[in-house]
Amino acid sequence: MNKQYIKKGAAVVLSVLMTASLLVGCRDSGGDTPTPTPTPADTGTDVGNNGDNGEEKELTGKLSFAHFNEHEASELARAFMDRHPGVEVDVRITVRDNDAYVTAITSDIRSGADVPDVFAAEAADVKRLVNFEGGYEDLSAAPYNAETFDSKLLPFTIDIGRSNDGKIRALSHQGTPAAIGYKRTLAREHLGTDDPKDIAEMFSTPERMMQTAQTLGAAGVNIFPSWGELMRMYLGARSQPWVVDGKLVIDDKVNEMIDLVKEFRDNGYEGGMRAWTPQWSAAINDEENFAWAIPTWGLRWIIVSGMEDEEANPMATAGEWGLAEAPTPYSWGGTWFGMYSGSNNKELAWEFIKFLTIDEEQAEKHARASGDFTSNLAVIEKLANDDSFLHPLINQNPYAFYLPMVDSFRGELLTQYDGTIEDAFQNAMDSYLAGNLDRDGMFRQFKNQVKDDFPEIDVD
Amino acid sequence: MNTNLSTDKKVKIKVIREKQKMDFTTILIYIGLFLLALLCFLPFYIMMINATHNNASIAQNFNLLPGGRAIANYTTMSARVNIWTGFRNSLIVSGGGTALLAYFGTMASYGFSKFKFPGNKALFWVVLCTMMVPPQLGIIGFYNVIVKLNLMNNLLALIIPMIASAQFVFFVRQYMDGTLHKSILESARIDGASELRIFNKIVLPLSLPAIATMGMFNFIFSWNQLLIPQIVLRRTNVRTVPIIVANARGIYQTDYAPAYMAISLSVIPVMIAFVFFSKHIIGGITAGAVKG
Amino acid sequence: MFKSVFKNDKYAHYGYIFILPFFIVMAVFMVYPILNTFYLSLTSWDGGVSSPDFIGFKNYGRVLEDIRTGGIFLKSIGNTWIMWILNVIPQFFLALALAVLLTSKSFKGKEFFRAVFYLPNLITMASVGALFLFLLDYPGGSINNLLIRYNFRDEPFNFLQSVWASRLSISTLLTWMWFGYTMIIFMAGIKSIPEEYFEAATVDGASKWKAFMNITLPLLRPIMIYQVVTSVIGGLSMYDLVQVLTQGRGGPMNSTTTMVMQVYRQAFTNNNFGYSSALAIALFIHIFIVVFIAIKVIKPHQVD
Repeated sequence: MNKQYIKKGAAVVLSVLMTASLLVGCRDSGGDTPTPTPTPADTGTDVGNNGDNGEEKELTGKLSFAHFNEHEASELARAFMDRHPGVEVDVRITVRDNDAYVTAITSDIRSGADVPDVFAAEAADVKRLVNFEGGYEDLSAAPYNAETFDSKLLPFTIDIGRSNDGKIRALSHQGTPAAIGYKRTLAREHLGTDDPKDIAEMFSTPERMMQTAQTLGAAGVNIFPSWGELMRMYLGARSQPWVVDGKLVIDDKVNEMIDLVKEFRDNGYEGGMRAWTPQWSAAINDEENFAWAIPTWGLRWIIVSGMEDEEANPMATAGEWGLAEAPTPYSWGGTWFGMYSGSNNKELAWEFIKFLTIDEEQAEKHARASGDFTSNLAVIEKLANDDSFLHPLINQNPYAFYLPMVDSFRGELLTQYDGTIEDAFQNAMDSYLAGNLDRDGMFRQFKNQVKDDFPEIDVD
Repeated sequence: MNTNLSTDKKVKIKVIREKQKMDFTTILIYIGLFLLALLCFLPFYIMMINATHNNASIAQNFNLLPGGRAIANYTTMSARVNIWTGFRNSLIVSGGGTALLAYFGTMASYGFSKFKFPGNKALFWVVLCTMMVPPQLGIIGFYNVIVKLNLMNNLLALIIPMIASAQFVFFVRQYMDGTLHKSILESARIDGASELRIFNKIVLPLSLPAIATMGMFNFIFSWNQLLIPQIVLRRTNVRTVPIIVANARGIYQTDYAPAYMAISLSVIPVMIAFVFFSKHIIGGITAGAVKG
Repeated sequence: MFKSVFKNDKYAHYGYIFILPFFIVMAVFMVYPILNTFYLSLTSWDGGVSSPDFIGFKNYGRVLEDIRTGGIFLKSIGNTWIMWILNVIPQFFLALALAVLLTSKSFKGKEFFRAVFYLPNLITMASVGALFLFLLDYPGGSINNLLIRYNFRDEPFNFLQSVWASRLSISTLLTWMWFGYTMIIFMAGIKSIPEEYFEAATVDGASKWKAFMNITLPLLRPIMIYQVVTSVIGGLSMYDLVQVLTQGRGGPMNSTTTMVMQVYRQAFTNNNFGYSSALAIALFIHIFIVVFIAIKVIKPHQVD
């Protein structure tokens, strides 16, 4: 019996060893993206001046681009490569699950090895990343002079992309005002109208919202599938950020929201789901849930992606949903792009960032193709006045809808602590809403968590 | 005569009754075992079934029968992540690492087991101490080492450290203590064999059952590792299977269908490895069972 | 006698050579990182590119303060222990019972059951967490749907918001994942007990139960110790499963936050690398003490 094992075992070990030795030397040679060399390319020829958009320059070289949204990243990369056939964009995706994206980027920057030339930042992480030492390049300085973009891009998106020392570090290609997305069929059936103005009125104050919830509740419909919708609406409408001068601030809107949400939950008006779960997504299709917090990108990534035939019809069925103004204009989400301060490819990276943001042709193309809301002021103006530009899902012109609101958003509302603080807040609220904590207990847990996470913040 | 017959009958009846009792308990036990086996298999089954449905159906129903979306999910998943590259990378890492561990780890076990050098006990305690350190503790330091050695995005960064498996060395040493006799080594030395030859020709083969057991566990364990590979392997084409599965869920993590497809596929190689190796382990340990 | 001692001496030095490759790799990839962690614990490094500032033992002061005032780290210690004990006790009983069963001669289907029971160990913890996060969802997760459909309950139960349901879920999942592995280890141990002992016992008329208590259990001691030790270490460093199941939040009222989750969170989410490293060292000391005690208790004296 021993001999059998010796033979079999030795054969296995040997073959594994041989295979391993053959392949073990491979660093990331080849692969599924068109990048032949592992070393960061030091090309980026041409591109001396910070030219205006509209001028076609001959660009060549290779750019590495890190993002967390695979769809968007490949779309943007392709658009850039179409415009400049001599350029190769190597897209690297790490999903934002469990902080994986931010950890990955910060680890790269820390090690200085193989850092992507351009990397994205989501709204929840953007303040963290722009303030990360040695990360994003200062775009306010020459030769970028991004301060001049004040007249070209939505000002509040520029402000969000600033680090604590006021320098612009990242720019966004989209604006993210948000509103209430509702199902027109359910509105007609239970509320008697599906006109956005009427619906907006029904949501205009907490009392009116309560009444609407009752009417819907009587018909077996939840006004919201989860309390997250209200949270988004209120958090984005605050006048003060979470941390002011190193002290934790609980804005009035937050208190208002806590009470409203508790009432909704206790009365069974809200669906009790958790946002971003499959059930929450699937509820897009049902008859029991009425409204969602829908930012500009929500049309595509909340509503359409929850629909059954998403693959077949990315712009989805016409007119089944509507967009109504929220009680206070609020903003939610967004993606910013900046370049690595130690990149060898800065000129090319800058061209890419400009292409994504101030290039009107690209902005308009992107808006029309994806239904996204661009941050490019000229394009916003143009599309808002274009009566034929209707988003098929809502049968409304989102640009015309949001244009009056964009001035009310301020970049100072975001802080680098936001992601963690909101997590702590949601965790405490979940226990409160489930009845396991009372209001004081909820605040105590929330504050203890924030204190534990950020000892430098003054929490009372 | 009569009494004898009736006693015989009584004994027979008693034996039959006992057998019946035993059979009844046995049946119960087997039923219990099958239920347990079902429980073990059920989650896999659910995942594989869900991999053939779309998101809405997964969210709303408890599916027990396959849907028709296998190909569609596979396509979505492949558009996002390349699971085959992942298989290749994981195979290199786990296979290569386990092979190196099998060789050098056994070497260390042999050194500890059969050589009474000064400091043997103390050094072995050091080894045990490293067993007590969860990998998460030294992450930053480990990362720094990898960067300094210029091994970022290099599969070797995961393969080489696998040699330092204290569990493997511990287990194999225990085994050697019990089954490897000094007499064999001494007679080989008398015959003029070099130490290395003795190791390769005698020690390795005789310790194979223990090596196979711990080697298999190491293979599976390293296959499922996520934390350290995620930090070290950044480029898309060096990612291992767990990283790929983690990324398969799409941007906002609600796209479970392709993710289930990825998970289902990712389990298959491990199952194959297990089935292949399992013949060698427990059976093998019986072979070396006679303790001196 | 003198000759054999002389022989030992002559070959003893080769021992160093044989353990060398292992120690080199260990020194570079395990010892150095731990030392690095210890160094970082004495700083206030925020993970940026500038060098860490040395602040002495302040971080440890913070750890002790947390323990003294019942902070989150203290909670995480309790959580980890509770979930580990809830997992390890059923797991060991089950694994031992199954191991005895599967190694008994009259048992049919050893290979099949051994393979099936090991299946749960093959899947990544993160995937299991993701699956059960989905199954345990409220109000419309699959398990709730089943409970309602078959009239076990009138309303869905919020598993993930209940302190004890969360902990039990995690413990049960851990038991499910590891009992097969433990069973195989025990089987190996039982198989290595010489047949003669059992034969002698049968001849003496001992029942199966007595044979088990007096032969199997004592001789399984070394394996048991090994398993308990590895299980403690694994249990105290619980991370993947809980992280995914609670979406990084640590469960209702931090009742399932584990120690390693705290270490990871402080470092990568909050950029408090100094404090995180201090927590890591504290965890290491904790494990060391526990293992030391465990070995001393279970194995009062072992003749080599």
